[in-house]
Amino acid sequence: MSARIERRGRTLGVMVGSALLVGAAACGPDELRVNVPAEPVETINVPPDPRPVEEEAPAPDEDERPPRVNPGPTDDE
Amino acid sequence: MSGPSNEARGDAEALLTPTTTKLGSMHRNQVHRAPWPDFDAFDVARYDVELRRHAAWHWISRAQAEHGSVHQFSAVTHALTEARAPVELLGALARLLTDEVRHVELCARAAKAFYPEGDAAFFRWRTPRAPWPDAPSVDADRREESELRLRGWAARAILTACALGETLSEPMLEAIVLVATDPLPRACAEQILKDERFHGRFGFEALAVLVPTLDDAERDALQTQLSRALAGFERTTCGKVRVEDLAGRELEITAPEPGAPPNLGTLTEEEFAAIFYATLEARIFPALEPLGLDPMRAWAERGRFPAARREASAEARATTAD
Ligand SMILES: [Fe+2]
Ligand SMILES: [Fe+2]
Repeated sequence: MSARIERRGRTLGVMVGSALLVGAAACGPDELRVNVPAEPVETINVPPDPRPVEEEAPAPDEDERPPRVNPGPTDDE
Repeated sequence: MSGPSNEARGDAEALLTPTTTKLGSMHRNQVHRAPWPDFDAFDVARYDVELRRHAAWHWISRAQAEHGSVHQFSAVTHALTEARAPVELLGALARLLTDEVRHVELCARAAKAFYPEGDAAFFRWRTPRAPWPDAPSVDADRREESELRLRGWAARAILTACALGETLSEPMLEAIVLVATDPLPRACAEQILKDERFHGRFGFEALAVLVPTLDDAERDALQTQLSRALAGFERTTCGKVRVEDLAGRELEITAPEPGAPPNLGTLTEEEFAAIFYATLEARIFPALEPLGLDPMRAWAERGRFPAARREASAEARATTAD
């Protein structure tokens, strides 16, 4: 089964293939795996940030607040 | 600039604050594209406040990601300038920079229009931080060596931000254009989509110039960065959805029929994840192979790169990453 992503008129067909069924996702600490709502919003998911933000991000000041879903290159001081 | 501090006004508003007449017109000439969306025409009364807040959160989060792109591409421009890279690389990068400024403004203004009730805390702005270590500095006594390291650093940044990041955002924006039921989010997403197509292409073109100039050590580092970036993108894009949940399935993202529930340009986590996995396999991996990279090996090895522990120092992460 191979992946496909194609526009058909008013539809975007997104076919996920099976070639990527190798290896395992690199999980971080549990709190990074779930969509943690950022205050002040209680109930909504935050959208993904299509950038790999956690790794190698400088950690200027440790942030004691609850983590966000994209807890990388932010200082949030 | 005078007036209340960023803190008091809410940071997103501070970013959008007019400066001088002349600066404003320079900015608009360079950054705005016709037709600039009419943010004031958005009819708040047509939509439920929860829907508007949900959308505003998506759009303000995207605005901050776009702001991160300005930050990242300016650093890459700086590094390639120090590396005395061809002027055509710098010229194309300069276009990316103004585009990303446009995206910040489009997304932030859309978010503010959707949710005028949002307070300073809701629209609080993060300081952008690069998702990689700083570029190496130039040693005047070993200039050739320094420039090689700078090109290696820039190649890793461009691989991550453009070849992967920009190529992934293109179908995501295409889907947002499709699902949006209101002209404002559709217009904003359409403008950004046009640019991101160019940015993804820039990534592969720039890598085709840079990669052949690298030595074996820098090529190995690029392959390692590919694996690390795939791990990071998967974590931040797919949330709890995994490729096992979607493999062998086709998701159809369709423009809503008239009378369907309103959508102000938001996708579900499953839609984001499906686009991520399908785009990697169908579009990105085949374009990485001619560069001498092995994307399937990088993918299979991505488990080696868990999220950085928050207490680790940036230096420790950089040196233990591989
Ligand atoms: Fe952008
Ligand atoms: Fe972009």
